[in-house]
Amino acid sequence: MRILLVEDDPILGDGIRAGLRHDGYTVDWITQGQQASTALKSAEFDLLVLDLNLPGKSGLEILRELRQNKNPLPVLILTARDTVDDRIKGLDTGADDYLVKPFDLDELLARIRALLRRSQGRSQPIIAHQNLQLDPAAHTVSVDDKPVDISRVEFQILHTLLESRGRVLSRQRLEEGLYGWTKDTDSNTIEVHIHHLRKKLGSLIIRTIRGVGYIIDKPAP
Amino acid sequence: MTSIRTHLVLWLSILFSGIWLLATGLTYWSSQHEVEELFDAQLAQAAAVLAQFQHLNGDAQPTLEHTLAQAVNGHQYEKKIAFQIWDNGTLILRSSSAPEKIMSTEPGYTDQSIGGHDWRVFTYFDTQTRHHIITSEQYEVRDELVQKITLDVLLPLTITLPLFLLIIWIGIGRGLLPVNRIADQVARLSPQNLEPVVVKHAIPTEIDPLLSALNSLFGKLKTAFEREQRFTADAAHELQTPLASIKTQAQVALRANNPEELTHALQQIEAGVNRTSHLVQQLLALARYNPESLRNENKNLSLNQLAADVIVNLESTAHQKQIEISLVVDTPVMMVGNAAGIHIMLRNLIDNAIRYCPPHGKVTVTIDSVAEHIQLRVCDTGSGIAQSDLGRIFERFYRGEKNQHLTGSGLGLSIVQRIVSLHHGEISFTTNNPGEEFCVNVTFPINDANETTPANGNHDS
Repeated sequence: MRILLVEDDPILGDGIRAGLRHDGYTVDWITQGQQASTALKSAEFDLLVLDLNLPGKSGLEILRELRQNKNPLPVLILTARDTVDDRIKGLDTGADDYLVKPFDLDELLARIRALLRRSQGRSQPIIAHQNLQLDPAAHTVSVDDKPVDISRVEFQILHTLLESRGRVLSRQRLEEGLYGWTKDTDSNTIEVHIHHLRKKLGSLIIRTIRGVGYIIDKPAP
Repeated sequence: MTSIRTHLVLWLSILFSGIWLLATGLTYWSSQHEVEELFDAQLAQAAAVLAQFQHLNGDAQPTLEHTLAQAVNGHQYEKKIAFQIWDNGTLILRSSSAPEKIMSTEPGYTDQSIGGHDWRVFTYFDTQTRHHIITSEQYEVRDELVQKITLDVLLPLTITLPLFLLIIWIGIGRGLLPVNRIADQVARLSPQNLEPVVVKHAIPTEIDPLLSALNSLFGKLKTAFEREQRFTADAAHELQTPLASIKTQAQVALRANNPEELTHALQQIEAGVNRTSHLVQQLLALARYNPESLRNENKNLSLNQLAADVIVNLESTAHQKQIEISLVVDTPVMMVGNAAGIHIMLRNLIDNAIRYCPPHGKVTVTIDSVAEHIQLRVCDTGSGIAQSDLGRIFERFYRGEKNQHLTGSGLGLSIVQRIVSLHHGEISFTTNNPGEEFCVNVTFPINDANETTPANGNHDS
């Protein structure tokens, strides 16, 4: 899961990034309003954590622009302003959720999970697929109710594929989801992780579409 | 509690009682005098009439039998009026009210006590008939008359005095009515609602200055309250982000998987606490410099000495960045102001210059007095302030877009602005061209600061 964090405060931004990474998210952190607009146009994210009080371009402007471009990206707003008016304004501009500083990191993570879940049209916190179950909050995967030992990166790839069931995800998309823009990755890394996943979960779950990417099929209705 | 009404009525009643007593005394004294003279004249005339009567009678010798019987329809006062005619030791004629003893042998007016009464006696010796003609009258008659006259004067005064005081009481009450109306309106005010008091009815000229003074006080209070409220809101708002950052880093530290993560988070917490305490200090400084608190703290200060102190304190920071810092003073410059405030202003300006000056740059502080102004200039070879930021530069907590990476509360210039305006000074910036210095110029008037209290400057910006 790739999250764009827009926060101008250096210490807070660093903390949120560390907290999100710890929970397995890939975080791209930027501090300027203008940069945020550019990033949103050039890359695909699963969620936006947006501070309202930004230099250059305010959070509300970024949000308005995002919704004008018909981008359905889930947006969680962080702000120091806690008046009802501010909250209403934020939500009406197109935010999906709202947190007032100072907030609890656990609450931020829980709200992010809820937003991701909703954006994928699920109401159950645990994703179930055939005999497989993935718990995004606990970071656990089980097959036939037996826990499977799985690495953080493997969990993220599986999570991303499960959230986009029925859609083919390119290798590049999966890579960006893992590392953001920060790392140059070896082009074979994703294949290695997929290989490990198939060994642990069975070879049939993830299909390879040659030359395009990977897919987990939608369960038959 | 003293009451203007009671006070006035009390003094007026003392005054009127005094006038009343004086009038009574004067009436009594003057009527007594007049009555005395009139009655004395009557006694003399009566004696003269009796003497004339004796002459007309000729040789006829009146005897005791001639004692005049009291007239049947006489007046009660007749008992109090008497006469005697004596012929060489023999009483030849007397009124029934007169005693049989001679009343007085002494010619002229005498006062005698006869039969338990005080008498006024007039004795006339007729040289022709050799008779003593004596007319007299009881003092009681005169006293009664004097008392009657005095009472007639007193009575209306006695009746009108309470009435008069009552009218004054009501009149003063009506006169003071605007005071009550103003008091009612003032009582309705609260710190949240300090509107000027407007009285629809005419306000007496005596009360108008009080009302104006009150309204001006309310205005100042309102401004002060609003400033405090805005300050509190701003301060609370500005503290949210630093606190959030500390909390988040603490939670990251708690779930850190390895020593590097933990150390990093703890370092961030330390930096966050330092930053927050700096912010709190700046907020306190900003709160402290308001017109009310500065009013009585003005002293004569040496501006160049203060600047030198600040530079000594900041030298090590400048040295770390290899910035050369210098103070240029031609002649010592003295100014009247708040020492702590001017010190904070200098520290903020010079600290800002060092902060925004790139390494190996120069910071120059120039102080001189030109005509009627003191000029302070803090220049650095840094990039200055972007044109687009110049308007917002004093907004509290604002940090320029290109300096986001620098730590600082963004409060410094707001504090400087407030202190400068409290000292009737002005602040300006020289917009810098590439390769030139960026300067902050502060100008203080020389004479002004001596006499006037700090102005109620605009601190909203």
